[in-house]
Amino acid sequence: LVRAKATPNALRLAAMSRKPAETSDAVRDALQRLHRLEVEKDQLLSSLQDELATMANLYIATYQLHSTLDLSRVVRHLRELLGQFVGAEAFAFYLHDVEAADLAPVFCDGIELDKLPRLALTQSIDPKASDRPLSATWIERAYATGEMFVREMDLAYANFDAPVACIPMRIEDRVMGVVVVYLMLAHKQHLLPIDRELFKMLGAHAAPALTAALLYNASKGASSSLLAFENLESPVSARTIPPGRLRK
Amino acid sequence: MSAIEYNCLVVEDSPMMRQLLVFALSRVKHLKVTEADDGVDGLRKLAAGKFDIILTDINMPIMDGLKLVKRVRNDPTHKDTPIIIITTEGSEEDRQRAMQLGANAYITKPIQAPQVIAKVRELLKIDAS
Repeated sequence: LVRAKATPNALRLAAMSRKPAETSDAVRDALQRLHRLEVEKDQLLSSLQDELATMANLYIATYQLHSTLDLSRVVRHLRELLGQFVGAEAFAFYLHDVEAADLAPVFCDGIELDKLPRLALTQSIDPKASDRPLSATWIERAYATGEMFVREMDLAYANFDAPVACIPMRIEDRVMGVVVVYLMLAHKQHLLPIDRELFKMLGAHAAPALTAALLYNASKGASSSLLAFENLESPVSARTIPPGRLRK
Repeated sequence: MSAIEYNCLVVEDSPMMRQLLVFALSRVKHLKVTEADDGVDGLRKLAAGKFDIILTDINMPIMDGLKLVKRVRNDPTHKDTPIIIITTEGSEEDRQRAMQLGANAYITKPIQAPQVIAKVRELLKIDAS
Protein backbone atom coordinates (compact mmCIF):
# COMPACT_ATOMS: atom_id res chain seq x y z
CA LEU A 1 0.00 0.00 0.00
CA VAL A 2 2.96 2.28 0.68
CA ARG A 3 4.13 1.71 -2.88
CA ALA A 4 0.75 2.88 -4.08
CA LYS A 5 1.81 6.39 -3.04
CA ALA A 6 4.09 6.46 -6.11
CA THR A 7 1.21 8.02 -8.02
CA PRO A 8 0.87 7.73 -11.80
CA ASN A 9 1.74 11.46 -12.07
CA ALA A 10 4.97 11.10 -10.11
CA LEU A 11 5.95 8.09 -12.18
CA ARG A 12 5.16 9.96 -15.38
CA LEU A 13 7.34 12.96 -14.36
CA ALA A 14 10.22 10.68 -13.43
CA ALA A 15 9.90 8.92 -16.77
CA MET A 16 9.88 12.21 -18.74
CA SER A 17 13.26 13.24 -17.29
CA ARG A 18 14.96 10.18 -18.84
CA LYS A 19 16.17 9.38 -22.36
CA PRO A 20 13.66 7.86 -24.86
CA ALA A 21 14.82 4.20 -24.51
CA GLU A 22 15.07 4.49 -20.75
CA THR A 23 11.75 6.29 -20.70
CA SER A 24 9.85 3.57 -22.50
CA ASP A 25 11.40 0.92 -20.19
CA ALA A 26 10.55 3.00 -17.17
CA VAL A 27 7.00 3.55 -18.36
CA ARG A 28 6.56 -0.15 -19.06
CA ASP A 29 7.93 -1.02 -15.60
CA ALA A 30 5.73 1.56 -14.01
CA LEU A 31 2.65 0.27 -15.81
CA GLN A 32 3.49 -3.29 -14.81
CA ARG A 33 3.93 -2.19 -11.23
CA LEU A 34 0.67 -0.31 -11.40
CA HIS A 35 -1.08 -3.39 -12.76
CA ARG A 36 0.37 -5.54 -9.97
CA LEU A 37 -0.81 -2.99 -7.41
CA GLU A 38 -4.30 -2.99 -8.93
CA VAL A 39 -4.44 -6.81 -8.72
CA GLU A 40 -3.13 -6.71 -5.15
CA LYS A 41 -5.74 -4.09 -4.23
CA ASP A 42 -8.57 -6.14 -5.76
CA GLN A 43 -7.41 -9.24 -3.88
CA LEU A 44 -7.17 -7.31 -0.65
CA LEU A 45 -10.62 -5.82 -1.16
CA SER A 46 -12.10 -9.20 -1.98
CA SER A 47 -10.56 -10.83 1.10
CA LEU A 48 -11.74 -7.91 3.26
CA GLN A 49 -15.27 -8.38 1.89
CA ASP A 50 -15.11 -12.11 2.71
CA GLU A 51 -13.86 -11.34 6.22
CA LEU A 52 -16.62 -8.79 6.70
CA ALA A 53 -19.25 -11.27 5.47
CA THR A 54 -17.93 -13.93 7.86
CA MET A 55 -17.93 -11.51 10.80
CA ALA A 56 -21.45 -10.36 9.93
CA ASN A 57 -22.74 -13.95 9.76
CA LEU A 58 -21.13 -14.87 13.07
CA TYR A 59 -22.23 -11.68 14.82
CA ILE A 60 -25.83 -11.93 13.65
CA ALA A 61 -26.12 -15.65 14.41
CA THR A 62 -24.68 -15.21 17.93
CA TYR A 63 -26.73 -12.07 18.58
CA GLN A 64 -30.01 -13.75 17.60
CA LEU A 65 -29.20 -16.96 19.47
CA HIS A 66 -28.69 -15.12 22.75
CA SER A 67 -31.46 -12.58 22.21
CA THR A 68 -34.08 -14.75 23.87
CA LEU A 69 -34.65 -17.18 26.76
CA ASP A 70 -37.70 -18.70 25.12
CA LEU A 71 -36.89 -22.31 24.23
CA SER A 72 -38.98 -22.39 21.05
CA ARG A 73 -37.22 -19.27 19.78
CA VAL A 74 -33.78 -20.62 20.60
CA VAL A 75 -34.68 -23.77 18.67
CA ARG A 76 -35.99 -21.67 15.79
CA HIS A 77 -32.76 -19.66 15.67
CA LEU A 78 -30.67 -22.84 15.67
CA ARG A 79 -32.78 -24.22 12.81
CA GLU A 80 -32.40 -21.00 10.85
CA LEU A 81 -28.69 -20.88 11.48
CA LEU A 82 -28.16 -24.34 10.02
CA GLY A 83 -30.83 -24.13 7.32
CA GLN A 84 -30.30 -20.63 6.02
CA PHE A 85 -26.76 -19.60 6.98
CA VAL A 86 -25.03 -22.94 6.42
CA GLY A 87 -27.44 -24.49 3.90
CA ALA A 88 -28.08 -27.74 5.79
CA GLU A 89 -31.15 -29.65 4.64
CA ALA A 90 -31.24 -32.46 7.19
CA PHE A 91 -29.85 -32.17 10.70
CA ALA A 92 -30.52 -33.18 14.29
CA PHE A 93 -29.65 -31.93 17.75
CA TYR A 94 -28.76 -34.63 20.28
CA LEU A 95 -28.57 -33.78 23.99
CA HIS A 96 -27.18 -35.84 26.83
CA ASP A 97 -30.04 -37.29 28.83
CA VAL A 98 -28.47 -37.71 32.27
CA GLU A 99 -31.21 -39.97 33.64
CA ALA A 100 -31.23 -42.36 30.71
CA ALA A 101 -27.46 -42.08 30.23
CA ASP A 102 -27.79 -41.68 26.52
CA LEU A 103 -27.86 -39.11 23.76
CA ALA A 104 -31.41 -38.20 22.84
CA PRO A 105 -32.45 -36.48 19.61
CA VAL A 106 -34.46 -33.44 20.74
CA PHE A 107 -35.25 -31.65 17.49
CA CYS A 108 -34.37 -31.93 13.85
CA ASP A 109 -35.16 -30.79 10.32
CA GLY A 110 -35.43 -32.76 7.09
CA ILE A 111 -36.02 -36.05 8.89
CA GLU A 112 -38.60 -37.35 11.30
CA LEU A 113 -37.56 -37.16 14.93
CA ASP A 114 -39.00 -40.55 15.83
CA LYS A 115 -36.85 -42.20 13.17
CA LEU A 116 -33.68 -41.05 14.91
CA PRO A 117 -32.29 -43.53 17.46
CA ARG A 118 -31.30 -42.68 21.00
CA LEU A 119 -27.63 -43.47 21.40
CA ALA A 120 -26.53 -45.30 24.52
CA LEU A 121 -23.36 -43.99 26.11
CA THR A 122 -21.85 -47.23 27.35
CA GLN A 123 -18.45 -48.72 26.77
CA SER A 124 -19.94 -52.11 25.93
CA ILE A 125 -21.06 -51.12 22.45
CA ASP A 126 -18.94 -52.58 19.70
CA PRO A 127 -18.43 -49.72 17.25
CA LYS A 128 -17.65 -52.25 14.53
CA ALA A 129 -20.93 -54.12 14.91
CA SER A 130 -22.33 -54.54 11.41
CA ASP A 131 -25.87 -53.51 12.32
CA ARG A 132 -24.66 -50.31 13.91
CA PRO A 133 -25.02 -47.15 11.77
CA LEU A 134 -21.68 -45.51 11.14
CA SER A 135 -23.23 -42.17 11.99
CA ALA A 136 -23.88 -43.41 15.55
CA THR A 137 -20.17 -44.09 15.99
CA TRP A 138 -19.29 -40.62 14.76
CA ILE A 139 -21.86 -38.94 16.97
CA GLU A 140 -20.61 -40.84 20.02
CA ARG A 141 -17.02 -40.08 19.10
CA ALA A 142 -17.77 -36.37 18.82
CA TYR A 143 -19.49 -36.54 22.20
CA ALA A 144 -16.71 -38.53 23.88
CA THR A 145 -13.76 -36.57 22.51
CA GLY A 146 -15.38 -33.14 22.29
CA GLU A 147 -13.83 -32.77 18.87
CA MET A 148 -15.73 -31.58 15.83
CA PHE A 149 -15.87 -34.01 12.99
CA VAL A 150 -16.33 -32.65 9.44
CA ARG A 151 -16.18 -34.96 6.45
CA GLU A 152 -13.85 -33.84 3.71
CA MET A 153 -15.80 -35.10 0.74
CA ASP A 154 -18.17 -34.25 -2.05
CA LEU A 155 -21.30 -33.16 -0.19
CA ALA A 156 -23.47 -34.99 -2.72
CA TYR A 157 -22.32 -38.29 -1.14
CA ALA A 158 -23.44 -37.38 2.36
CA ASN A 159 -26.32 -39.43 3.74
CA PHE A 160 -27.90 -40.67 6.93
CA ASP A 161 -25.06 -43.13 7.56
CA ALA A 162 -22.30 -40.76 6.54
CA PRO A 163 -23.16 -37.30 7.83
CA VAL A 164 -21.45 -34.11 6.78
CA ALA A 165 -20.54 -33.04 10.30
CA CYS A 166 -20.85 -33.95 13.97
CA ILE A 167 -20.36 -30.90 16.19
CA PRO A 168 -20.03 -31.33 19.95
CA MET A 169 -21.96 -28.68 21.88
CA ARG A 170 -20.00 -27.50 24.88
CA ILE A 171 -20.32 -25.41 27.96
CA GLU A 172 -16.71 -24.73 28.84
CA ASP A 173 -15.10 -28.20 28.96
CA ARG A 174 -18.30 -30.14 29.35
CA VAL A 175 -19.90 -31.62 26.25
CA MET A 176 -23.69 -31.36 26.48
CA GLY A 177 -24.67 -32.90 23.17
CA VAL A 178 -23.94 -33.16 19.48
CA VAL A 179 -25.29 -31.43 16.38
CA VAL A 180 -25.39 -33.81 13.43
CA VAL A 181 -25.60 -32.40 9.90
CA TYR A 182 -26.72 -35.25 7.66
CA LEU A 183 -27.33 -33.51 4.36
CA MET A 184 -26.79 -30.18 2.67
CA LEU A 185 -29.13 -28.44 0.24
CA ALA A 186 -28.72 -29.96 -3.22
CA HIS A 187 -27.30 -26.75 -4.70
CA LYS A 188 -24.67 -26.45 -1.98
CA GLN A 189 -21.73 -28.47 -3.25
CA HIS A 190 -18.87 -27.45 -0.97
CA LEU A 191 -18.32 -26.38 2.59
CA LEU A 192 -16.79 -22.93 2.77
CA PRO A 193 -14.48 -21.53 5.47
CA ILE A 194 -17.45 -19.58 6.81
CA ASP A 195 -19.39 -22.85 7.34
CA ARG A 196 -16.61 -24.17 9.55
CA GLU A 197 -16.65 -20.92 11.51
CA LEU A 198 -20.42 -21.26 11.95
CA PHE A 199 -19.95 -24.87 13.11
CA LYS A 200 -17.41 -23.68 15.70
CA MET A 201 -19.78 -20.94 16.81
CA LEU A 202 -22.56 -23.50 17.13
CA GLY A 203 -20.29 -25.74 19.21
CA ALA A 204 -19.59 -22.90 21.62
CA HIS A 205 -22.98 -21.15 21.76
CA ALA A 206 -25.76 -23.68 21.14
CA ALA A 207 -25.48 -25.48 24.49
CA PRO A 208 -25.38 -22.30 26.65
CA ALA A 209 -28.40 -20.92 24.75
CA LEU A 210 -30.38 -24.17 25.12
CA THR A 211 -29.41 -24.61 28.77
CA ALA A 212 -30.34 -21.01 29.65
CA ALA A 213 -33.71 -21.48 27.95
CA LEU A 214 -34.35 -24.76 29.80
CA LEU A 215 -33.47 -23.13 33.14
CA TYR A 216 -35.73 -20.19 32.33
CA ASN A 217 -38.48 -22.71 31.53
CA ALA A 218 -37.96 -24.26 34.96
CA SER A 219 -38.11 -20.85 36.65
CA LYS A 220 -41.63 -20.48 35.23
CA GLY A 221 -42.64 -23.86 36.64
CA ALA A 222 -42.28 -25.71 33.35
CA SER A 223 -39.98 -28.61 32.65
CA SER A 224 -36.24 -28.13 32.56
CA SER A 225 -35.64 -31.65 31.29
CA LEU A 226 -35.51 -32.80 27.70
CA LEU A 227 -39.29 -33.30 27.89
CA ALA A 228 -39.55 -29.54 27.34
CA PHE A 229 -38.68 -30.11 23.69
CA GLU A 230 -41.77 -32.29 23.22
CA ASN A 231 -44.04 -29.34 23.91
CA LEU A 232 -42.57 -27.17 21.20
CA GLU A 233 -44.67 -26.28 18.21
CA SER A 234 -43.74 -27.91 14.92
CA PRO A 235 -41.42 -25.68 12.98
CA VAL A 236 -42.87 -23.84 10.01
CA SER A 237 -39.93 -24.78 7.86
CA ALA A 238 -39.84 -28.48 8.73
CA ARG A 239 -39.94 -30.69 5.70
CA THR A 240 -38.97 -34.20 4.91
CA ILE A 241 -36.33 -35.12 2.40
CA PRO A 242 -37.40 -37.42 -0.46
CA PRO A 243 -36.31 -41.00 0.44
CA GLY A 244 -33.77 -41.19 -2.40
CA ARG A 245 -31.71 -38.38 -0.92
CA LEU A 246 -31.29 -39.94 2.51
CA ARG A 247 -29.91 -43.38 1.90
CA LYS A 248 -29.80 -45.63 4.87
CA MET B 1 -25.99 13.07 5.76
CA SER B 2 -26.90 11.52 2.41
CA ALA B 3 -30.42 11.72 1.02
CA ILE B 4 -32.37 8.51 0.54
CA GLU B 5 -32.92 7.85 -3.15
CA TYR B 6 -34.16 4.28 -3.18
CA ASN B 7 -36.62 2.39 -1.03
CA CYS B 8 -36.16 -1.33 -0.63
CA LEU B 9 -38.58 -3.82 0.91
CA VAL B 10 -37.18 -7.02 2.43
CA VAL B 11 -39.82 -9.72 2.99
CA GLU B 12 -38.36 -12.55 5.06
CA ASP B 13 -39.81 -14.52 7.98
CA SER B 14 -36.47 -15.49 9.50
CA PRO B 15 -35.25 -12.71 11.82
CA MET B 16 -31.70 -13.98 11.44
CA MET B 17 -31.75 -13.87 7.63
CA ARG B 18 -33.56 -10.53 7.67
CA GLN B 19 -30.87 -9.01 9.85
CA LEU B 20 -28.18 -10.38 7.53
CA LEU B 21 -29.91 -8.91 4.47
CA VAL B 22 -30.38 -5.54 6.16
CA PHE B 23 -26.70 -5.55 7.09
CA ALA B 24 -25.66 -6.44 3.53
CA LEU B 25 -27.93 -3.79 2.03
CA SER B 26 -26.61 -1.13 4.40
CA ARG B 27 -23.54 -1.12 2.15
CA VAL B 28 -25.61 0.18 -0.78
CA LYS B 29 -25.55 3.96 -0.58
CA HIS B 30 -28.79 5.93 -0.55
CA LEU B 31 -30.89 2.81 0.07
CA LYS B 32 -33.52 2.74 2.80
CA VAL B 33 -34.61 -0.73 3.85
CA THR B 34 -38.06 -1.58 5.20
CA GLU B 35 -38.64 -5.02 6.70
CA ALA B 36 -41.70 -7.29 6.47
CA ASP B 37 -41.98 -10.73 8.01
CA ASP B 38 -44.32 -12.45 5.54
CA GLY B 39 -46.19 -11.85 2.30
CA VAL B 40 -49.21 -10.22 3.92
CA ASP B 41 -47.03 -7.86 5.94
CA GLY B 42 -45.15 -7.15 2.72
CA LEU B 43 -48.34 -6.21 0.87
CA ARG B 44 -49.36 -3.98 3.75
CA LYS B 45 -46.07 -2.12 3.57
CA LEU B 46 -46.27 -1.90 -0.24
CA ALA B 47 -49.72 -0.34 0.06
CA ALA B 48 -48.35 2.29 2.43
CA GLY B 49 -45.47 3.47 0.28
CA LYS B 50 -43.58 3.34 -2.98
CA PHE B 51 -40.69 0.91 -3.25
CA ASP B 52 -37.95 0.75 -5.86
CA ILE B 53 -36.96 -2.86 -5.26
CA ILE B 54 -38.31 -5.89 -3.37
CA LEU B 55 -36.35 -8.82 -1.96
CA THR B 56 -38.47 -11.75 -0.87
CA ASP B 57 -38.12 -15.26 0.48
CA ILE B 58 -40.40 -17.99 -0.92
CA ASN B 59 -41.22 -20.21 2.08
CA MET B 60 -43.06 -18.02 4.56
CA PRO B 61 -46.14 -18.46 6.73
CA ILE B 62 -49.48 -16.78 5.91
CA MET B 63 -48.49 -15.76 2.37
CA ASP B 64 -45.49 -17.14 0.52
CA GLY B 65 -43.14 -15.23 -1.73
CA LEU B 66 -44.55 -16.52 -5.03
CA LYS B 67 -48.06 -15.33 -4.14
CA LEU B 68 -46.52 -12.01 -3.21
CA VAL B 69 -44.80 -11.75 -6.61
CA LYS B 70 -48.15 -12.45 -8.33
CA ARG B 71 -49.91 -9.78 -6.28
CA VAL B 72 -47.16 -7.22 -6.86
CA ARG B 73 -47.31 -7.76 -10.62
CA ASN B 74 -51.05 -6.98 -10.51
CA ASP B 75 -50.53 -3.85 -8.45
CA PRO B 76 -50.44 -0.74 -10.70
CA THR B 77 -48.02 1.06 -8.36
CA HIS B 78 -45.45 -1.73 -8.19
CA LYS B 79 -46.04 -3.80 -11.33
CA ASP B 80 -42.63 -2.79 -12.72
CA THR B 81 -40.72 -2.87 -9.43
CA PRO B 82 -37.75 -5.27 -9.62
CA ILE B 83 -38.15 -8.35 -7.42
CA ILE B 84 -35.30 -10.54 -6.19
CA ILE B 85 -36.21 -13.96 -4.82
CA ILE B 86 -33.93 -15.17 -2.03
CA THR B 87 -34.63 -18.76 -1.12
CA THR B 88 -33.34 -22.18 -0.09
CA GLU B 89 -35.25 -23.70 -3.03
CA GLY B 90 -32.50 -24.34 -5.52
CA SER B 91 -34.14 -26.42 -8.27
CA GLU B 92 -34.36 -25.16 -11.84
CA GLU B 93 -38.11 -25.78 -11.72
CA ASP B 94 -38.51 -23.42 -8.75
CA ARG B 95 -36.34 -20.82 -10.42
CA GLN B 96 -38.32 -20.93 -13.65
CA ARG B 97 -41.63 -20.74 -11.83
CA ALA B 98 -40.53 -17.63 -9.97
CA MET B 99 -39.20 -15.99 -13.12
CA GLN B 100 -42.40 -16.81 -15.03
CA LEU B 101 -44.43 -15.17 -12.28
CA GLY B 102 -42.43 -12.00 -12.77
CA ALA B 103 -39.37 -12.15 -10.53
CA ASN B 104 -36.30 -10.38 -11.95
CA ALA B 105 -33.60 -12.37 -10.18
CA TYR B 106 -33.26 -15.56 -8.16
CA ILE B 107 -30.61 -16.05 -5.48
CA THR B 108 -30.27 -19.22 -3.43
CA LYS B 109 -29.43 -19.34 0.27
CA PRO B 110 -26.97 -19.41 1.93
CA ILE B 111 -26.42 -15.97 0.48
CA GLN B 112 -23.13 -14.30 -0.35
CA ALA B 113 -23.59 -10.65 0.61
CA PRO B 114 -21.56 -9.28 -2.36
CA GLN B 115 -23.81 -11.22 -4.75
CA VAL B 116 -26.97 -9.69 -3.25
CA ILE B 117 -25.45 -6.21 -3.25
CA ALA B 118 -24.34 -6.56 -6.88
CA LYS B 119 -27.81 -7.70 -7.98
CA VAL B 120 -29.54 -4.84 -6.15
CA ARG B 121 -27.14 -2.33 -7.73
CA GLU B 122 -27.65 -3.88 -11.15
CA LEU B 123 -31.44 -3.76 -10.96
CA LEU B 124 -31.47 -0.24 -9.57
CA LYS B 125 -28.79 0.78 -12.08
CA ILE B 126 -26.55 2.12 -9.32
CA ASP B 127 -22.86 2.56 -10.10
CA ALA B 128 -20.75 0.45 -7.73
CA SER B 129 -18.30 3.32 -7.23
